[in-house]
Amino acid sequence: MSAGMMTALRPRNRRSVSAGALVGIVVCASVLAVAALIASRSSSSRGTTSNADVRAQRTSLVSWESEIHPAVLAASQVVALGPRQGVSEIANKTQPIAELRVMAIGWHARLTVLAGQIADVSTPPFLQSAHVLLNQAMAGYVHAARSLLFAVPASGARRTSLLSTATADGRAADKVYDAAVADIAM
Amino acid sequence: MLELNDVDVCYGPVQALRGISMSVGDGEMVALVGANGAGKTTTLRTISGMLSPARGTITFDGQRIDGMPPWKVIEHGVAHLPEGRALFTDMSVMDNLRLGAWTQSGEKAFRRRVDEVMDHFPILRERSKQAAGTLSGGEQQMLGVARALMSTPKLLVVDELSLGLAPKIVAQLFDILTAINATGTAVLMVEQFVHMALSHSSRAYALAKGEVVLAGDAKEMRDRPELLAAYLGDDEAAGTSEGGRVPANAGGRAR
Repeated sequence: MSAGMMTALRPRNRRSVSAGALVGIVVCASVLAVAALIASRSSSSRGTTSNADVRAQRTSLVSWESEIHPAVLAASQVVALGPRQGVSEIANKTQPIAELRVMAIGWHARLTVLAGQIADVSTPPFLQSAHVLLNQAMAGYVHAARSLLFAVPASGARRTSLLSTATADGRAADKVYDAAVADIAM
Repeated sequence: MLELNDVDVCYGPVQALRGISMSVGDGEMVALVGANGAGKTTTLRTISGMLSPARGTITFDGQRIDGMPPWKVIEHGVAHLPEGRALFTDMSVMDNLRLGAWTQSGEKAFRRRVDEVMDHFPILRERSKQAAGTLSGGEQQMLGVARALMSTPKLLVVDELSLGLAPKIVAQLFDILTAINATGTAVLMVEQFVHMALSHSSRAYALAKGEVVLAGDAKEMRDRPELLAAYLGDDEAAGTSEGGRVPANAGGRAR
């Protein structure tokens, strides 16, 4: 191997990799121990997880993620660039009502489609609880988008109320989404 | 711009990533290569907020983004084009682009951004009213990239751009990606066409079993396939030779 290659391409230091791996193993072992404790308390019928079970779980997990993640990403893009910015636009009527209405219809329609796609993904039993949480989060985002749609033509106290509802639903959905991600890691 | 520092990701009892440290600089194009199951896609999903690290940090433009939900990561300027395009097949090209660009600036700004993005994809301009589902595979992938660009990201994260596409189309898409990168958008890509990924990137990381095993200059990595083979195995490294442009796993992954 040339000296240039030696400096440019850096095979990772095995000692640091080993140290990192050791810490990682300790962290994962701790998570596993807690998970095992919870599992043993919640279900006495559940047996010991074999390596084959772990491999099978990993395969189902990868397959599930491949199906569900593109839709989750698309929904996140709608939420980030749509309703989240749209609340203040509707509150301040920064654009003509007709334009705001078209946008709000779009947010609601797309989130509804994506919520359906996410709900339709076939889910292995050990991910059911995460899937339920994702579905709840999506329902919250759809509900928030619906409130925004109604808020566009509304005025006064009704508009303020609808915007507040949309914001609260969006925040609640964020929390449920976070819980879903945490559930996947468990 | 993007820094991953000692990131671990666990799925319950399974540790998918081990101490991943890597970076993408401003306007840089970086490739992430490795065998199936090495952790490439998991790395991208963790950056995008779909997975949360068990340990380690991810910073973007100096701000911690690890553990943030995807919508918040998008707001920070990261756009992720996932494996599988997640297009609205019944909607037109233009309506799919709208998904990526509701901004406070209104219709005029949207049209202006569409024009900028369409400059990279003239064929989409011609087909702007066509339903996305009627586009060819390559055109759908272009639409996926175009939609991701509508949010004017600082970093575009691309997972398997070439999946299921003919080599000629893949080459065309890589040229487009290079042109996008030339406008200042940084790119982090996972790619099964290893040779092509290394040819278009300035730096690369090789992953094996959830760990970074090799990091450095992409050109040098491309010119020394035997070194890559030592870490990734001969099958994957076959994609790095001049003649080996067919991805090692094409038979199993083409759709």
